[in-house]
Amino acid sequence: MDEEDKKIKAFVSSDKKIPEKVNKTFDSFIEQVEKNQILENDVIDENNGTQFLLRFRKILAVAASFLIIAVGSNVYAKSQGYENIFFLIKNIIYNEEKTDDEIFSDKDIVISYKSIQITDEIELQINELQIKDNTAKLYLLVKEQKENLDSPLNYKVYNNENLEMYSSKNNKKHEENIYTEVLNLKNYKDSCTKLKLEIYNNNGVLLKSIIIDLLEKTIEARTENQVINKISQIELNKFIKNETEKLYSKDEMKNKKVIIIDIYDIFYSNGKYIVKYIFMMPSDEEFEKDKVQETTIYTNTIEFTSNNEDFIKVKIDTPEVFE
Amino acid sequence: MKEEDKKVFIENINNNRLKLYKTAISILKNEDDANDAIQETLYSAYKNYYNLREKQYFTTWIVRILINKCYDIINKNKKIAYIDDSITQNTVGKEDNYDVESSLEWVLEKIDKDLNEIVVLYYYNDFSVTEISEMLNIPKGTVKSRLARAREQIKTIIKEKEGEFNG
Repeated sequence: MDEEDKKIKAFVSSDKKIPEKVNKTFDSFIEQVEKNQILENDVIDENNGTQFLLRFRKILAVAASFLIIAVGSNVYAKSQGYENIFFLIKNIIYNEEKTDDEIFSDKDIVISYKSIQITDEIELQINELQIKDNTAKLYLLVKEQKENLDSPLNYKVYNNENLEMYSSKNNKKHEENIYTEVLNLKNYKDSCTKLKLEIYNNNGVLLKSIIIDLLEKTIEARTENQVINKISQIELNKFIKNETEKLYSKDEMKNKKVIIIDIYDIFYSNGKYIVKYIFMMPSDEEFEKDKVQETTIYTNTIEFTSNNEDFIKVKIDTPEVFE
Repeated sequence: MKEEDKKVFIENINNNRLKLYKTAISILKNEDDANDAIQETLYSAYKNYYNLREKQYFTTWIVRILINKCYDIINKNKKIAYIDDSITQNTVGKEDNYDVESSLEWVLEKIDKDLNEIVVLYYYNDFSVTEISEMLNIPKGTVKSRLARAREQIKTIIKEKEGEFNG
């Protein structure tokens, strides 16, 4: 931190104000912890009005959801030719019993056993698609780290006509770090050649969208929202910076440094990462005088493979001015 | 939670009161929402404390939980977190009654809104560029370029303020 930064820090950190209400929240929480009033599985304190209201809202939301499910499932059952939902369930159970001893499919498609990094803490393998008539089961193997805050994950699957085949909401958190998810896909047709699997975190934020090519048996993973969690961001930046610097001669790089501003797109396809990024090359003088903003910004694409420890360059394009 | 762990946990919470509040308010711009986010964060942190293996990273860990809770609240409320017109109008009044003790809030109101989190995390909470990059899930380069922008804007603000005091 230079002198200027220290001055700014001193200026902003002189602010020590916390509203009384927020301080009370801290005090009340600490008091509950000290008095062992918080059960680890039930953190609601009914003596606290706000908390009670929250709980009431949750109960109301759950009740409303049940009502919607009950009405919706009856409508669905009627549309399928059943008197009500109980007849439909009965029929499903009856059919399941019949297929217990059968091999689910003779058209299974083994897709891949290569792990895809979903976030820094979550890896996923799309192992297999088992098909029978117009239903299919997609087997995923998920590996999570304990501290991960994105879990439990939810999924959506679409076919090549973009029709929803599967959607999960409010999945339960798995106790194990490695577990298998089986997604029962509806309306599977033999004409289905591609599936799109979307993976969401517990806040409903799309973490990754993956295209599964059933004919080629390949997977293309794509991050959304310019969030790159596939590999270590720090290492990736270093690697791209080094490879970009190599594009220029020593004279061209004299008193200059490459700064990677943003990695705005990253694809993973057939064992290769394709990364699009923007960078600038300010001179030391520009950098020191904080005139970095005025330097030209370039865009470029690099392709590389990774063996979990190193990145190996496959191809790098010639940078273009970013407009 | 064991008594010993509980003591450390409470101590950590007390040490981070200001950081948590300033982070929440910088994102949510609303005291009630910030209070809700903090409340949810505290319970979530308590429930998941045993999952935190490296206890020395408590601050980073809890701020990360808080940031997630803040975005959760923004999503739930479908609110726009950016400062709205009514608050902008109030800024004039706040400026008139400028008090050095509320310098952070004052700076946050003056600079571009996309720089607020970065300023609080870097200058107020002392997180490194790498830590911020991981917390906000944005590239390190983006953190740096936003910091450079923030630095320029805050410099101007401080100069103006110094001018006002001297003039």
